Formats: sequence, C-alpha cells, structure tokens
Amino acid sequence: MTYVAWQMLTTDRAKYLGLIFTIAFSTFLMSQQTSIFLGLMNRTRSQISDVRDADIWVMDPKTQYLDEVKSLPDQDLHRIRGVTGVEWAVPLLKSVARAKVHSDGRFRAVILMGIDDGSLIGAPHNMAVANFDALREPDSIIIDRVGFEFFFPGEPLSTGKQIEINDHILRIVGICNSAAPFVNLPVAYTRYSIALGLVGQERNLMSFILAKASPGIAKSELVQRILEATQLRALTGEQFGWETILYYIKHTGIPINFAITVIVSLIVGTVVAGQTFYLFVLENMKQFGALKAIGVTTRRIVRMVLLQAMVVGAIGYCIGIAMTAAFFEVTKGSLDLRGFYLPQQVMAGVAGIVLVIVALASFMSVRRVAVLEPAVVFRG
Amino acid sequence: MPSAIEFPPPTHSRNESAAVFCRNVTKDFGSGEGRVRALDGVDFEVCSGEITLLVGPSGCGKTTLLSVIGGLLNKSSGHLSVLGTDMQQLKGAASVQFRLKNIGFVFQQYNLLPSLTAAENAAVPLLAAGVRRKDAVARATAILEDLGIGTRAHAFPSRLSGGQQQRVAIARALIHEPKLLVCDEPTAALDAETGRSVMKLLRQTAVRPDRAVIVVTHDSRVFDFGDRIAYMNDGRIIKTEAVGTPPESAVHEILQRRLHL
Repeated sequence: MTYVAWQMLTTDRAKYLGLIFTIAFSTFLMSQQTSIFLGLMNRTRSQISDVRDADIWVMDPKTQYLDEVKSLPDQDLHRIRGVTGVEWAVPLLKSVARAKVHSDGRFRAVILMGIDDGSLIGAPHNMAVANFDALREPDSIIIDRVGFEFFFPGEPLSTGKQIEINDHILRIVGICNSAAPFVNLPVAYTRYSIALGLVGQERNLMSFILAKASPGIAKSELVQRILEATQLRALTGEQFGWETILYYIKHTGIPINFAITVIVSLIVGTVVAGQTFYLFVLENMKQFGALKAIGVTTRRIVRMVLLQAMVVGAIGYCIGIAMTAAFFEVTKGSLDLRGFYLPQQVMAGVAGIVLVIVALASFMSVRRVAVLEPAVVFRG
Repeated sequence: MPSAIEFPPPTHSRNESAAVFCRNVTKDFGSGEGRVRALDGVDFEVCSGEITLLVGPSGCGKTTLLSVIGGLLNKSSGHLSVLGTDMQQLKGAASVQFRLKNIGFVFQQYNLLPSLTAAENAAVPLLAAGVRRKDAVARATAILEDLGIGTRAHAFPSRLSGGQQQRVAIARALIHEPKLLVCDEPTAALDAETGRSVMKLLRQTAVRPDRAVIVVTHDSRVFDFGDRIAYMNDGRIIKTEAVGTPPESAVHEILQRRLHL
C-alpha cells in the first residue's frame, strides 16, 4: 500500500509541489535565519576565539563584554604574574583606531590589537601571507584580509605596503584571516609598545591581561585565585566569549528580530502546509473510504496518510536545507559574509521543527481519516 | 399517502444456511428525538449461485441494508449472518479482515483511485492483503483480459469510459475471489446499452455456485439478469420473488408505481 500512498500523493502535481515548496521555504527561512543569527553572535566573540595561547582573560571587575572595557593599570600585570599558578601573563590592548593609506587618503576604522612585544601572545595564527613573527620588525603591523582588500583594492595580497595610524607610518608585514568581528571592521595586530603610541592617550591603556595556567593548575581554580588575590575579574576564553554573546542577546534587539522571522516562518509553514495537506486528504476522502470498504484497516490508511506527510516533509526539508547550503556556498567568497555557515545543530533543530510542522499538518487529516465511515462510498 | 399502504408479509424461506441471512434487522441513525430508523425489521436471504436484485424507491434503506450486510455499518438489532458468520461477533480488525477476504464491492461511482492504472486499481485488494505488487498487477491484468479490457490495463481511470471503469471496478471486486459480491447501482452511471453489457458481464463472471451476488438497482432494464428480486420499502423487505414470476395483483401495481417502473 506504500505504492498506492505514493501514487495518490504525487499524481496531483500542483498540490504535491505546493506542499513540498511550502515546507522547503519554511525550512530555508528557519535554517538560514538561525544560521545567520548564530554567525552574528559568534562574531561578537571573534577576537576572543582568535587568541589561542592564553587560558584566562583578566579585566576590570565591571567589564561586561569584549567591546566595552576599562583599561587596567600596568601594576595589575605584575599582580597577576604574582598569583600562584600563573605560568605567564601578558598585556593585551584592544582599541579602535583610524587607519588610512597615505597615497590616496582612503581611511577606515580598524580594530587594533596590541600584543605582547616579547612573546607575541595573541598574534593571529591563521595567516594568509607571511608569519606573525614578522611583527618583531620595527613599525610593523599585520592586517587582516578585509583590511588589505579595502585599503588596496584589486591588488594581490602582499607585504611591504604602508598604512598610517595616528600619524605613524606602519609597514604591513603579514596578512591574516581573522574571524569576522561583529561590526565587520578590519582587524590589525601590532606590538603592544607600538600600539600604545597609536591610540589616544589615557592614563591606562591595557585592556586585558592574558594569562596562562601553570601545568597541573585547572583554569577554573586559577580564575578563583586571581579573583581572590587581585579582585580583578578573570574568565576563561570560553566563559568570556559566552558572556559577550549573552550581552548582545540581552541588550540588543537582534535575537528578537531573528526569532520573529523564525516563528513567522514556522507558523506560515504549519498553516499553509496544514491547510494544503488537509485539502489534499479531504479530496481523497472517498478513495480512502473505498479502501476502507475493500478491507484496508484504518491503521493502515492512517499510516498511508502519515507516510504521505513524511515524504512531503522530508523532500521539502531536503530542498530547504539545500537552498540554505547553496546560499552559504554562494556567499562564502564574500569577505563581508565570512563566518556564516550552516551548523549541523541548526540542521538537526530545523529537522525537528519540520517534523512538528508535518505532525501538526497531518493531525487534522489523520483524525478525519480515522473516523471516516467506509459506508461513505455508497453515497453518491 | 403511499407509505400508509399495508403490504402483505414478506415471503422467505428461513434458510439459515443462506450466504446472507437477516432476521428482524434494524438500523437507527442518531438518538433521542432525532433518531431515524433506516432499517425496520428486515428479513432477507441471499443464496449462493444467484444474483439477488434489491430494488426499492430512493430512501427506502437499500444502501443502508447493503452497508450492514457488507460490514460497513453495524446493525442496531436483529440477527445477521454473512457466509455463516454472525456479524455481531466481528469487531474492528476482524471485521475488516472478513471484508477483505470474503466480500467484493462494486460502487455506483466506481471509486477507482485516479492515480493508479486500471490494473493497479483492480489489484488493490491483493495489495491490501500483502501480495507483492508485481504479482497482484499480473493477476489483475489477467482478470481485466477476461473482462475484455486487457488492452486498457495500463490506462488511468480518466482515460477510460464509464463502462470500462465499471469493468475495472468489477475486476477489483472479484480479484480476491470473494464469496459475496455487493453491487450498489452498478449501471446507474451508464447508458442503457453499456449497463446491460456490464450486467451481462457480471452474470458471466461473478456468478459461481459458491458465490452470492447482491445488486441494488433502480434500472428495470437489467432485472432479467437477476435470479431473484427483493422489493424494499420504508426500511423493510416487502416481497421477494424469482425473476420472471407473474405480477401479483395490487402489490405489483403499487411497486410499479412507487418504483416508477
């Protein structure tokens, strides 16, 4: 009877395709919007996740998230180094500076990361051109690909070019592939000592202290020790990343807007698919009645209806996911859209939601079929 | 008022070994003041090896009786035995299995699945019984050839004439070799000539010593294809007679008038 169910489903092409594309577009909207939302949220912590060498981020006790910091005095660095269990601690400056190309005056704000002169802890590991060790050269700077293509459009990626920040001429010694930041500004890396001279003068300029736990010391334990010894806030990179994401979720309208889109696509998908499927089943009611009269059990007919719903849901889901995957495949070359992708968790989650849509859509139909009197076939 | 006329008691044989045996069967729809009695003490028998025609005016309960005999509706009271089985004892899946195994249905509107070919439609009872599609369709094709439409076995119902569709429906009703064939107005949607050819076909292919056939019909032109005629009115069988029995005075006259024969 599986064949009969399949034939019944696919013969009315218009309804069959209508059902499939309703599910497909719902799937596309839900998976694409959710993926973009997750990508955006992931971007908020990109500078944290780009630092791979340090275990702990130390900051002012009132710091809420990555992009709003109160700088620490230099002596805090020494205090952290004095905490038992800290293998090393280095300064990190994070600021926004205006960079420009001297030749044509093109300028843009860049996220400036000042990393420790000696260890280069915090330097980018994903390099497109050259090695981050080149930062040891005088007046050197590493810029990410987005920045290079903005300042030198159409030119091949190469070192040796110059940019100007706060009247300082810096030579590009490397090009990195940094994770896209939330505001999508270029990211530039230089040594801490150089960075101090590039940003506006405040009494303190050290944004964060990056620390490493000694072997055998758990990160959580070190976090607690730093707090007790210095009263400064210390978080693991993972914790700080999530704190930053949660800040954006709580204090911006971004999640609500994305949630509205996802919920609307869920409702529209359910209502349209449900209505179309219900009409489809209603039109076939006499045929189901004939099958019942002939001797097909109600359970089997219900299984046929559910199979039809599942087939429509599965094909629609696959098309929708393929559309989303195609979207990210097409846009992956765009630097502005880098970092957005279709996570497996989203695929699994949307599959669950589509299952709910299909279940809701078929619920009424199944009910009608279940209570259908086979004697209906004798009515004209 | 015609309904107020008193009919003589029905003639029946009290043959409990008949393929269908009804005694004082009633069927009510609704409850309380809205209750409608569709069958009002039906006494009826159908024997194997015969075609029994069930005739009567619209709304007299023919289709309800057919549904009750076919196991599609439960009677409200009385005794009903089909092929020796007390239908009251059959519940749920057992009733469905009984239908699948023993009863073939031919409907007025054919009720073919438009998405299946003629052969696939005819094969549905075998598919429902779990026979492999290839085998079921091969068997259906053979039956369609017997019924004279083998060349249309792979056509969809929308490509078949009314007569051809009814032949497919007959093939579907016969493919699992049921012991009881129940036909509801099989010629109503057909022109006179096609109707007669369908009845002729039914007579040739469906009648077997071990099979009973009940045909509900309005069409007096096909009466001569039956062996017995049961007249029904107001939810009761009022007369059963062999085809060709000379008309009986006033009763026959009343029936002629009520049935517009």
